[in-house]
Amino acid sequence: MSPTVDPAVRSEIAGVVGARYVFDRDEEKRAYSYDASLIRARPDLVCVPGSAEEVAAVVRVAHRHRVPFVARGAGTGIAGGSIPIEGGIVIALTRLNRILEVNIPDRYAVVEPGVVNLDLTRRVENEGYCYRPDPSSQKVCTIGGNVASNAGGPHCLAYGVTSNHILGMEVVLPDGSITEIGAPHLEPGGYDLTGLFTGSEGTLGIATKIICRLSRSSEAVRTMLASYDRMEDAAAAVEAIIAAGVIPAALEMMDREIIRAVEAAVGAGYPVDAEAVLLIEIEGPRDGLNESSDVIKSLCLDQGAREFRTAQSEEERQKLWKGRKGALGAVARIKPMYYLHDGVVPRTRLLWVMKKIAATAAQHRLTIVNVFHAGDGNLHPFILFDPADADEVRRVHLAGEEILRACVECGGTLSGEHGIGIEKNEMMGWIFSEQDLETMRRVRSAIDPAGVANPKKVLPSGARCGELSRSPGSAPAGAWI
Amino acid sequence: MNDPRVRPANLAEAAEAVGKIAARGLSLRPIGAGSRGWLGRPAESEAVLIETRDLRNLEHYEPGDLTVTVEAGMAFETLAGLLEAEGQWLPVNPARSGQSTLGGLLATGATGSIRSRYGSWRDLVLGMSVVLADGSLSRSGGRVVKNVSGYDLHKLHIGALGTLGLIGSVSLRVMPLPKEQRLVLASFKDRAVALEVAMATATSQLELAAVEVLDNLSPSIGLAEGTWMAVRIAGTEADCARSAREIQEASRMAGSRRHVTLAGTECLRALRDLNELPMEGTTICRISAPPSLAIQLLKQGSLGGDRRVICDIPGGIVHVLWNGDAEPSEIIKSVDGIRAGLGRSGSAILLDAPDGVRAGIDVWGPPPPSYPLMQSIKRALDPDRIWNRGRFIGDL
Amino acid sequence: MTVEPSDFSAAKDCVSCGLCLPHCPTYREYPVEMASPRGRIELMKGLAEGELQPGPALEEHLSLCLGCRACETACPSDVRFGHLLENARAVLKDAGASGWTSSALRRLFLNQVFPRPAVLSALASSLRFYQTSMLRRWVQSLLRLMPGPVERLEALMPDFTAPWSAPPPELPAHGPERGVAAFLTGCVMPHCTGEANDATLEVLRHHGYRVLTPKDQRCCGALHLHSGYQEEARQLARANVSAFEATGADVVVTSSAGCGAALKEYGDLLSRDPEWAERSRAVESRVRDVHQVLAETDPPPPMGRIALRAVYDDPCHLLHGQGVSLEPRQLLRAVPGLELVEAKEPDWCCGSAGIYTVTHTEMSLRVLDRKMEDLLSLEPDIILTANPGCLLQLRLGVARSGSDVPVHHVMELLARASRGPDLTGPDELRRHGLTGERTR
Ligand SMILES: Cc1cc2nc3c(=O)[nH]c(=O)nc-3n(C[C@H](O)[C@H](O)[C@H](O)COP(=O)(O)OP(=O)(O)OC[C@H]3O[C@@H](n4cnc5c(N)ncnc54)[C@H](O)[C@@H]3O)c2cc1C
Ligand code: SF4
Ligand code: SF4
Repeated sequence: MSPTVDPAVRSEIAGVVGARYVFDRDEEKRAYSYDASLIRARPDLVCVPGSAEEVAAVVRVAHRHRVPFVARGAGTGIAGGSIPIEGGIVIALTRLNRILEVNIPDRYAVVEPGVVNLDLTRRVENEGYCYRPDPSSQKVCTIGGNVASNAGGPHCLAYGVTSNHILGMEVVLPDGSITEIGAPHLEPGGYDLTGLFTGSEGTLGIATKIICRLSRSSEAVRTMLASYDRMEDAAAAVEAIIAAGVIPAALEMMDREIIRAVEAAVGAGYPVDAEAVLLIEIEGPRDGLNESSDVIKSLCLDQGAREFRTAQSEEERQKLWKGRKGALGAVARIKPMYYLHDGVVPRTRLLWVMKKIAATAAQHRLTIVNVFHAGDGNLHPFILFDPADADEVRRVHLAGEEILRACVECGGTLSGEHGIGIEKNEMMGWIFSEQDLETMRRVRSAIDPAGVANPKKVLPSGARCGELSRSPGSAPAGAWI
Repeated sequence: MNDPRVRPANLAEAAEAVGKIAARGLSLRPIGAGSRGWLGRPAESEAVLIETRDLRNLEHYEPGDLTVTVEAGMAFETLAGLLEAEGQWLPVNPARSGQSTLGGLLATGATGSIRSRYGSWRDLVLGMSVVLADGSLSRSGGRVVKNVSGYDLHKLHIGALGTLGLIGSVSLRVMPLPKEQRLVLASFKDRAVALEVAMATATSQLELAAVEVLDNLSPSIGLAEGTWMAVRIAGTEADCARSAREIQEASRMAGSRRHVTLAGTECLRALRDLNELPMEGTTICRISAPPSLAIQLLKQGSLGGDRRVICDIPGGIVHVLWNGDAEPSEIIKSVDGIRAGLGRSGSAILLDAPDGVRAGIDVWGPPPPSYPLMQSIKRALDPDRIWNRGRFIGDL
Repeated sequence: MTVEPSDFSAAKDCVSCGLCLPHCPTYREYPVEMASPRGRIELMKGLAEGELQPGPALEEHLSLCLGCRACETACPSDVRFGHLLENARAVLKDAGASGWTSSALRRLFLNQVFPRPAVLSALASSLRFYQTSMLRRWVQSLLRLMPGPVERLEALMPDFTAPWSAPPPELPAHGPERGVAAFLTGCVMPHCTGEANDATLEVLRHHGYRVLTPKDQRCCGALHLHSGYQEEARQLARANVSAFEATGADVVVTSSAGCGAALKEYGDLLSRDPEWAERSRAVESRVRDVHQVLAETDPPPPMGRIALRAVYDDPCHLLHGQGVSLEPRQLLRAVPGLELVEAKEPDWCCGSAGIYTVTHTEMSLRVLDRKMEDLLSLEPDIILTANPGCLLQLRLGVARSGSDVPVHHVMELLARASRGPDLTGPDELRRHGLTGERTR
C-alpha cells in the first residue's frame, strides 16, 4: 500500500544531501522502521540532511512529488511518531546537532534540532545554567523530538514541560518554505505559533532551529527516597504532599518489580523488598530546603513510609537518579517486551487509578509494572508480555485500553508526554468531540494542504474510535504490534 | 453606546448567537468587563458586541489537583477569591485587572511583573472551549497538568484579541499561595546603577517573584523621586529573610541610600499600589526585548529618557508611559525611534493611546516574519473575518 | 559448528530504547541508525530471521562496528552485543560475503600470521614485517589522511628492530611468594610493545608472584572471533586451554585487555564441544587481568616516587569487556607523587579495535582524534593504558596531534615505580623514558 518512491525523487534528494546520506537498501530501510514503541513500518527512502537548507530542499522535492515525509530525531519516541506508517521519506535530523548560539545574559540558546537534550545542559552548566526539560531519555533524545512531542520529564512537576521552555523556532513548512516563529524574547507578537507547533509531532513541519530558554540552576538540591510496604500508601503520600502546597521539583514513584529490575541493572540502592518507593527532589535557595524537606518527611512518614532517607552526597543522588532514568530499559529484564502507556489522571485520583491498574492486571492475568511521574498524575504502566504468546498479546491490548479508559473517565487524558502518534490517534474520540477534531484538522490542512507531513499521525483517520488492535500490513514477519 | 449587542446566558447560547450573527455576515466583537477595550486598532467596521459577563460559572475546582475550570466571563478578582479560600492562587498579576474577565485577560495576553518566575497565560492554560466563527464550540487541551493529546489550539487564542473565536471556558493550573512575601525597595540616584543591580539580582540564585526598575513613578506610589528597584520575594520564611537581606546589602554596596523591606500587610498593600498605578489618559508603549538589549537601550536613554518607565528586568519587558498632555506627534516620533532601535530584535506595541496617536501610527508595529502563516490560520478558523475585524495585526 | 538463529536470541532483549546510542563511537561520528548498536542489532535480527541476506550492505554496516562494547555497558536491558556481533560476523564470513576490501589481507593475517608464533616472530625480527602489505597500506592510508612529514610517521611504527624473546618458562617471585601466575604473552604485544610484557613480569614478581610462561601457548583468538573466524578461534582456544591447565597456576594473567576479554569467554566459545566445555570453563574461571591480580595485593609492595601528571585511558576490552576500571586507577593512585587526572570521556574508544585501523582508517582516525583532544586538553606528562592495540593507536594519536607526550602501559610505570629510584618529573621522563635498565 505504501507508495514507492520514484527514482527521480531519489536522485533529486541525493543531489541535495549527497549520495552518502541517502539510503534505500532493505537493510537501511529496516534500520529506520522503528522507534522505542512497538510499531514498525518501513520508509521507501531515508535521508540525513546536513543543514536547514537541505531539509527545506528535500521537503520541496517531497511536496512536489506528493510523497509523504516523516521527521526523525533519535527515534526514542514511544508513540510511533517517527514511524513512516505511509512509507515515503524519513528525514533524519541527527546530523543537525550544533548548538548555534548560547546567550547567557539573555538566557537562551539557539540549537539545531538534532542536538541531544543533555548536551545543551552540559554546555551551560559550568556557567550555572541548565535547560530544564529532562525526559528520562535525555542523554539520547533530541531537542527537535522533544519539541515535536512536547516532552516532559521528572522535573516538569516544578518547571513545566518543553513548551514552557521554547521561545521560538525556524520551521520548514510542509511545502518546503522556511519561516521563523517566535523570537528570543517574550512578546514576539501575533498568534502563538510556537505554542501550536510544540507538540504537533512533526505534522505541521520540521523544526530546523530552536530557541530554548535557559534557566538558572538551583542553588541547592536535596533528594529523598521514601519506601512503602503498600502501593496505596505511597500514592496517598503523593496526594498529601501536593495537597499540602509543597511542590517538589520531582516526585516519582516506582513499584516493586521495577525496583528489583533497576537494582539488577544499575544498583541504584533502592530497597528490593519494598512494594513502592517515592523518589522526591526539592530544589531552590539553600535556606528554604530544610523547611520543605521536613514537611515532606513528616507527610511521608504519616502515610506509613517504613524508611525515609536523604541522599548524603552528590554521588548517592546521581545513583538514585540513574536507577530512575534506566528504569525503562531495565523493564525488559522482567519480560521480553512491554507495552507502555502514559495516561494522566487528576492528582487526587492517583490512588483510585493505581487500584484500577492492579485490578486490570489481575483480571487479564498480566504483569503490569509502574514507574512514573506521580506528582503530575502522569502514569507509566508497563504491560509486560511475551510476543510469542498471541493470547497474551491480545490481553495486553485489552488491558491497555481499559487503563486509558479509566484515565479518561476520571477527568484525565490519553497521553501526558509521549504523544499520540500512530498509537493512540484512534482513541482521540474518547476525549474530543468530532467538532473538536474537525477544528484540529482544519488547522492542520491550513498548514499542510497536501497532507504530506507525517500523515496519519495524531488525528484519527476518520474511522470511528476504538479500533485499537489494528495490524499494519507493513509490519515484518515476526514483528508484532 | 448603542451598538447592537447580545448577552448569552451560557455557552450553548453563545454558540447559537454567534452562528446566527455570522450567518448574516455581521462582524462580532467579544466584550468582557470592557476594562481593556482600548487595546488594538479601531474596529474596521461596525460590529455586534457579544458580552461574556454572564458566562461566569465555576465549572470545576478540585484544590487537591491544583487545577480549576471556569467560564471566561468570570472576573479575575472573583476567581482569585475562590482560590484564596483554599490557600491557592493563579500566579499572574496583570495591571489594573481586578474587574477584568478571564476571557479578556487571555485575549489580550495581559500579564505582569511575575511572569519570569511563574510563566504567562500560555504556561498556565491547560485547555479551552472556544466558540468559532461558524457557531461551533470547539475544545482543545484538557484539565490535567500534563497533556500532549492533540494540538494546543488554545495557545492560539491567547493574545489573539479575540480574532479567532470567543473564549468560552478555560482550564488553568493554579498554585499554592506562597508562605511569605516581601517587597524590597531601593532607591538609586543613577538609572544605570539601578539597572545593573537589578540585573545582578535577577540572575542570582535567589528565587525571586519579580525584579523591576521604576523610573520617575515613585510619587504616585508614595515614594521619593528618582529611580527605584522593586524586588518581590515569595517563598518560605527562611528564603524571604535571606533574599531580602542579600538584596538590601547589594543595593547598599552599590550606593543606594534608601532601602526598605516591606512584609505582611504592608507588603501586600504596596504590591497592590504598584499594580494599580492610575493610568487614565496615559499612553502606554510595551516593549519586549532580550533583557540585555532592553537594559542597554534604557541606559542610553533611547527607551523613555526622562519619561516614566517600568522595566521587568528578567522578562525584558519595558513599559514607557506618556502623560495625557504629551503631543501625539512627539509620542509617534518616540515610538518610531524605539522601534528603529529594536530593529528585528524586539517589539514595541501601544497598549493604550489617544486617537490622535492611533491615527498616526500602527499600534502593533510591523508584523512578525510568520505573518503569512498566521493569515492561513485565520483563514482556516475565521474565513469571513467576522471576529474583531481590523483590530489586530494586519488583516488578522 | 555453524551459527544458528538461536545464537541471536540475545537480540530479543533489545527493546530499541536507544539508550546505548550516545555511547557508540561510530554513531557519534556518523549519526545514522545503521552505525548504531540499536541499528546493528536490528540488522542482526533481520539476518537471524532470514529476512536480510549476507551481502555488501550488511558487511558494510556491521564491519564499521568497532566491537568496543560500550553499548553493552550502557544497555539497561543487558543485551549481549559483543556475542551477537561475533555470531553475525561468523555468518557473514561463512556466507563468503565479501567486497570488504581488506578481506584477503585479513585472512592472510588471521590464518597465516597471528596463529603461528614462529611466523610472526620471523616476520618481526627480520624487519620484513614492515614491508608487508598491511603495514605499507596502513602507512599509506595515514599519509593520505594526514599532512606532516613522513619521517614522523615512520617513527610511529612499532619498533620491530628490538626483538623480544620469550621469557624463561619460570621466574621466581621477588621476596616471599604469594602465589603462582601463568602468563599469557599475547601474540602481537611481544613484537610491538615488548617492554610492556617485561614490565608485567617484573611487577608480578615484585608483588610476590612466581610467573610461569607456558611455551605452547598460542594467539588468544580474539581477532579471529571478531572477524567471524569462529572455528579458528576455537582451535586456538583449545590449544591455550590445554597449555594453561597444565601449568596448574592459581591465576592465568595477561596484561593485554583484548586477550583477557577473549580468554574470559572461552567457556562460551567451547560450550558446545563436549570434550572441552568443562575444561575451558575451568581455565576461564582462573583468568584475571593483571590489574585485578595486583590490586588485591595487601599490603601493596613499596614503591618509589613518580612525580608526573598522568591520565589513564580505559581500553574498551577492559572497561566494557571485563568491567575493570577501578583497579588500574587504584594501583596508580597508590604510586607516591603521581597525579592521576580524569578525562571527560574516559569511556570513549581510541579507535584501534584490532585491525580496524587498517580496515576502516577514516573512522578509526576520527574516533582517535576525539580521544586525543580530550586527553591532551588535560596536559598530562604521560598517557597510560593497558592494551597493546590502544598503546600503538594512542601513540599514533599523539603524533597526529603534533604532541610528544609519551604513551605507556600502566605496567611500565608500575615497574619503574617498584624498581626505583624516584622519577623527578617530566624532564627526566623526556630524557630517559621509563625503562632504564631491565631486570628479568
Ligand atoms: C528510556 C526512555 C525514557 C523516556 N522518558 C521520557 C520522559 O521522561 N518524558 C518524555 O516526555 N518522553 C520520554 N521518552 C520518550 C521520548 O524520549 C520523547 O518522546 C522524545 O521527545 C523523543 O525524542 P526523539 O529525538 O527520540 O524523537 P523521535 O522519536 O525521533 O520523534 C518523535 C516525534 O517528533 C517528530 N520530530 C522529530 N524531530 C523533529 C523536528 N526537528 N521537527 C519536527 N518534528 C520532529 C517525529 O516526527 C516524531 O513524531 C522516553 C523514551 C525512552 C526510550
Ligand atoms: S540500550 Fe540495549 S535495549 Fe536499548 S536499544 Fe541499546 S541495545 Fe537495545
Ligand atoms: S561495539 Fe562499540 S562501535 Fe559497535 S555498536 Fe557497540 S558501541 Fe558501537
